[in-house]
Amino acid sequence: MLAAPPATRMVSKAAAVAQPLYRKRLRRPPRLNRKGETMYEKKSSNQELTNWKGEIPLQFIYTSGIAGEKFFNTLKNKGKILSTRCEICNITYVPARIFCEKCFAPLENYRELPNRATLYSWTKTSVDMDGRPLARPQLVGIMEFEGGAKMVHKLGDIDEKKISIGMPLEPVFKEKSKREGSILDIKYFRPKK
Amino acid sequence: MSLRRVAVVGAGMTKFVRRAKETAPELTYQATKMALDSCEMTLPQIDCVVHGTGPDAFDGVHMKAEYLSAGSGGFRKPFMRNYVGGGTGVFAPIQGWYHIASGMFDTCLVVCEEKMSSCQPHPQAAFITIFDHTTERPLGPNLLWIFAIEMERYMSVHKIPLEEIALVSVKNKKNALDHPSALLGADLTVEDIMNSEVLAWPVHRLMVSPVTDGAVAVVLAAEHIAKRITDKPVWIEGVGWSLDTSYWTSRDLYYPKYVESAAKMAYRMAGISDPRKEIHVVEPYDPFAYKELHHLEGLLLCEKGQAPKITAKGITQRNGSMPVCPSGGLLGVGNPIAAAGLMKVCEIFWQLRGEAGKRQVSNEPRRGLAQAWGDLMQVGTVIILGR
Amino acid sequence: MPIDPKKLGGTGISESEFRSKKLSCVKYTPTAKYAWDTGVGIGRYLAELKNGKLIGRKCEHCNKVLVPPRMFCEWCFKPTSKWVYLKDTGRVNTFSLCYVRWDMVRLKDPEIPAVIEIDGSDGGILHLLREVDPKKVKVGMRVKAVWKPENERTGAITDIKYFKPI
Repeated sequence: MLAAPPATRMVSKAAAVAQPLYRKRLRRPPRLNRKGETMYEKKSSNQELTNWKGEIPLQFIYTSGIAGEKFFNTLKNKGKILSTRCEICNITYVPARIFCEKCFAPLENYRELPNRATLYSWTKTSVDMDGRPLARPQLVGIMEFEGGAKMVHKLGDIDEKKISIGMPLEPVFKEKSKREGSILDIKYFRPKK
Repeated sequence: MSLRRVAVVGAGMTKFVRRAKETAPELTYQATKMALDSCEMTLPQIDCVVHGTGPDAFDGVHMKAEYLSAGSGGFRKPFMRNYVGGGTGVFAPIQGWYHIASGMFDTCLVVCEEKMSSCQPHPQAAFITIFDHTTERPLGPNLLWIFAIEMERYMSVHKIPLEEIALVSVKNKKNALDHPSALLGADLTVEDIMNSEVLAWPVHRLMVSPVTDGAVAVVLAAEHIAKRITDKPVWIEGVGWSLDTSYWTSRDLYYPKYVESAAKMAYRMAGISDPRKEIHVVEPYDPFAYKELHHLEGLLLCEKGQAPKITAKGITQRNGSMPVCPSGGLLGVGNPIAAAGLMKVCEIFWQLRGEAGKRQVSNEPRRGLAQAWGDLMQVGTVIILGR
Repeated sequence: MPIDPKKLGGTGISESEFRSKKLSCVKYTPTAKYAWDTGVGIGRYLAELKNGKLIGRKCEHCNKVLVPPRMFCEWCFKPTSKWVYLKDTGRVNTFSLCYVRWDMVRLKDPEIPAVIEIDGSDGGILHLLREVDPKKVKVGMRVKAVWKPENERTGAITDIKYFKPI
């Protein structure tokens, strides 16, 4: 391992001339051998370092749960967003939940929220999950509902230049016949007219 | 070593079901709430949360414990996750124990949960990644191989007939009929077990516990708080844990050395010199019928090769001199991987307090032991509780 | 407080309910693909398998030959010292007859995985037994490897097709 020369040392003139060159050599990247490998990647001659390829073949079925089922059925059948509220902590949850995260009280007062929200934050994404470029960039945001509940979803039908935090939004649902009981039953949120 | 005394003061669990409708956080909440209600405590009184849960691949959720932390009371609290395979269920209370014993916290919520049914086509597919990816996975293994292989080695070294192992399934499934959360309680005979389908010889279907969803929680407290909460605290007297090599083909599988190391560590801490006499009720880990016997020997509760004999003599029945798996164990109640061990800790808790209802053992136990096992047949975790 | 059965959480659903369209759920298939480095020990092991040989690694301190080979000994925690070629025969340490596949699909003829103590080593490897009647497999049986022909070997554990009794 090459060691850096000591910072302060009395040297002869010849050495002083040589030293900057020595320092310069350190700053250059490690020399590559003929195969294009550095000394740290040099493979020994009598073994091949290889890799073994494989995959983990799994699929998942995620149940929506007790509250989730009610939430998604309300989206599908009524075109409404279902919440639950903890009166002790003054917190509203969207999607609805069966318990309050903060005080652990069971929550049973499900309530459909009016179809309006404000924009809490947003971004524009240009790559997909695997890092490949999207055909069209996507606008996503966190929508804040009555009572302070927040949910992530897409923004659509919106002029990027006119987006502002706190702007009023409304959800746009798919036609009832095309809804499946999924979060995508809401197509996107757009500025409230 | 000046460590504070820690007690288990409350316990709760959900039913163990083949596939749960609840999401994993909802399931976790149900168990945690029951544990808190059982000792009339509220979430603000809990100082920290320890969460044991299986691989992210079961639920298909990355950073699964954090996803579940809302349901396990981890909202804005010190939170720690652990996973040592099936050993988690007993390792989680050990981890909770040292949170309090160290003096850093006074109360701790220990929660273990598993929702394996999300994984398709079968959670086994997530399990096979335990095999070495280069030297073993190309052979197309499945999880049953390693247990069947270990069982064969155990049987052939000690010359144990399969019928003696089937007795364990009969006992545990019958015990489970009295457990309200049990999935697999049944009144069966040795013949029923032997006639069940062979999955991987010598393992028959009724000698295995299937994948299950469930959650369990316990509340731990330091001595000065435990005495205020309940007049029947159950003290954690000894803990032990140990890991063996993952080059499993280099080990002789007939004896679980890692369980012996963990047990010795726990016995030393509890001051136990004759475990057979000083432990009054035992809950060893029994996902397979032979594992109960294998572990009883590893826990030094009987001589090597003698566990089937004491089972046949009835010593391990609920009314015997050393009841083993009075809850019904994993064979009777079910096997949600990380939560199963904690179910055993809960059982010892209830047994020592005389609250096990129809499952109550008759020898008035004052000390109980719960043990769990996991990974690639590697980890042994042991906890000794006493009153 | 003992368990109150009426207050137990956990709602079980049947297989048919789970698969039905009425269950509110989301299905997802992640892409989990890997390229695992074989490392120094196993890299050589696989290269020797391609040559039709089994190789182990000796720990001088413990006086053990480890197979599959590793560059450190987990018993004494010191680096292992040299490569040792091994015969491709051994003894069955334990085995099983498995009638189900990894996804629980039933098989008509069982697969026979076994741990085989390789002659000359202090370890064993997991592999399959074939060309043997399942009822006649015994612990202690002597077996020998059956290799793929040289031009079909790729440097994998499957270059040994299986072990058979001798």
